[in-house]
Amino acid sequence: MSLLDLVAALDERDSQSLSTSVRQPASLQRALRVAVELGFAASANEGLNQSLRAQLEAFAQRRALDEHYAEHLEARPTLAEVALELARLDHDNLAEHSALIAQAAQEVLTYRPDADADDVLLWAASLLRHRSETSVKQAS
Amino acid sequence: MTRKPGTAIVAILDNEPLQALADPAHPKHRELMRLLEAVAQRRRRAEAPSVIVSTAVRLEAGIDRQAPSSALLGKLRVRDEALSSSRTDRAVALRRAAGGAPADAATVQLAEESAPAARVTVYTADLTDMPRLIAALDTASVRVHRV
Repeated sequence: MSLLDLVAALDERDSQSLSTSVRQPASLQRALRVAVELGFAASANEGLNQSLRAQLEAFAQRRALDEHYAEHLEARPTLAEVALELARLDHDNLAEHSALIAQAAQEVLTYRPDADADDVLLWAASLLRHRSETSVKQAS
Repeated sequence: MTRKPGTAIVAILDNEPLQALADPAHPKHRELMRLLEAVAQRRRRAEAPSVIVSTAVRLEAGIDRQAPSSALLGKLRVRDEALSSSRTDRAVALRRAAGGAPADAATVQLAEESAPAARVTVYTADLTDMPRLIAALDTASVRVHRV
């Protein structure tokens, strides 16, 4: 079995439904019933399927990226580059401050070595805000 | 700008970005990997950004999903959006209004369709026809990024 088998199964849209005998903790089943009542999904079945699909999609994509980097090390972007791209996808004005994002990526890693691109953007937003406040104070 | 949690993110690939992503030897491949890595990192936060491509663009780029050389696109979860009859009608109207190639109009039609519920970014190497087509849309939720 390979990643290709996984993505082929995820891409198949017209497959039949099967009943399964997955053992779930009773408390989890109860939590799911309550969550459905609160608007989590139209039904417990739909909620489970949506959640599982989202997890599998994320797993497949992460695995594909890691396999790709193992073969093509030069394709792996830096944390600062990923953060800049995320700001662009968010339509966030931070995308116009690439030097600030690079600084934030460097600083946040000293505080949190496993930081991701969202951590960098939060740090960069804070840097930008403090920089603006300092400019205002100096002007007054 | 403050990010609104829960607002969807959609990235749409035009011809050259699609080719660059599919081919690790392409000079712009790493640039596209930034996008896919950003999408993967946001997924960790229970959001599901989409990276999509119009089948019209895939045809123009000559990329066959079944070919082993294109397997990376599927593994990275780049999704096809088929050019249906109604989508084609709207793309024809956009092209009549603003010009551009058929695949450009199909891409911008997808952007327009996604825009009411998402922040949409079109990745393209074309800074002539594509921005003109996007300017013809009645939305501020679509941006262009030059690759």
